[in-house]
Amino acid sequence: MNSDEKKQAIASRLALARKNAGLSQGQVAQMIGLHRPSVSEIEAGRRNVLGEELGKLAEIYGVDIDWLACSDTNKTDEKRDKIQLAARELSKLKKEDLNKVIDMLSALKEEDKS
Amino acid sequence: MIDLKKKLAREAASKAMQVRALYKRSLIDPICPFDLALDMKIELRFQSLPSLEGMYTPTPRSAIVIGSERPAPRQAYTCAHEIGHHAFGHGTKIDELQDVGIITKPFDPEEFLAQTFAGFLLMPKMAIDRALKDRGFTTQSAKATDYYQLACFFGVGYTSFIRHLTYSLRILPQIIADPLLKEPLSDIRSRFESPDITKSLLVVDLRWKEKTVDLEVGDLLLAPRGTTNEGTSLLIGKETNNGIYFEALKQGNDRLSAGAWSCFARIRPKKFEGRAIYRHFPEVADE
Repeated sequence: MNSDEKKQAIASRLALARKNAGLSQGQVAQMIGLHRPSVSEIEAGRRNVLGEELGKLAEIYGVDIDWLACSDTNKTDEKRDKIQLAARELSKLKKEDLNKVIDMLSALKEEDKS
Repeated sequence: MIDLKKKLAREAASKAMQVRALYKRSLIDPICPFDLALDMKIELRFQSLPSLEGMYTPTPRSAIVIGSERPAPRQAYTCAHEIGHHAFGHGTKIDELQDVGIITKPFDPEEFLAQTFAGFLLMPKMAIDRALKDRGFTTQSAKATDYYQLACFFGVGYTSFIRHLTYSLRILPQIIADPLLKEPLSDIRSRFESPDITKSLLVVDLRWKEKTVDLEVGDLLLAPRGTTNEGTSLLIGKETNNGIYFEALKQGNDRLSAGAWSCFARIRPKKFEGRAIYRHFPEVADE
């Protein structure tokens, strides 16, 4: 993945994570002290997202920062496998719902042990 | 089988009381299961998944997913059910509850435990006794509208409430419960003079002291006469002999008051999808 592709991939994950969290761009902007158009630019891949901003957004969305930064391939695959293995019952779900729920769960931030 | 069910029901009731005590919920007040799940550090999400009622998974972290398409009281019951799976340390569970209060066949002890736990968590006997006494109701004399009002107070559906009193607590004889269960909800709402009997109606009385009023956009609220609201999420409507109507307009938080009585109202979007912690976040005006 070249740097432009990675920037777009991160932008897509940021938009997906925000929607899955149930927040609008305006709400997120207010939470992290940006203007709404800045959030829109970040999600369109037209503005770089700073490391500190990425950390804040991961916290707000309740997702793993490595997933959000697209530097997680193995980790997310492991999580997906674990969920699928643990959830033999997931077969009860329609395929479309199943993929949606596994995607959402495998992006979650792991339990805070502290 | 009957002995096993009795044993599991006792276990479920005891665990529900333990969870209430551990998370500082009294045994005499209703609770919000969504807030409880968040206090238990469970990641709680609402998602549109038509084939799913609810789901619990302990991995990669403790998480509950509730189908956002279901009516709010049903979502609350499902959440309590999933908290049951968490409290009993069960593995990943997908729940397709056919009907609240009835366990689908074949008999699954873990599902029975979680479902019975949910009933006792949301409606402990002490809380039911107190709610009846405070309003001067008895199970023998209460009318369908009284049971509807109590179901609202406990945040559960009318049918779930009647069934819990009949089959779990055994304080409402079946001979009285059966005709109550046949009452269409629209008929009960019309007895409250609801301006739109097709809409979900929450009936609030002066006994709502520690409990927050939870609504979805579009829901109707019947509050005691003379109630006013602070905030912009509720729109005041017509006054009737039963009280004053409000309609939930937009997500956010309002305060209701009438004389010495007051309580908070939280409004979430209809069929909200997202993290439970954000369900009442007010929308931000665009710049």
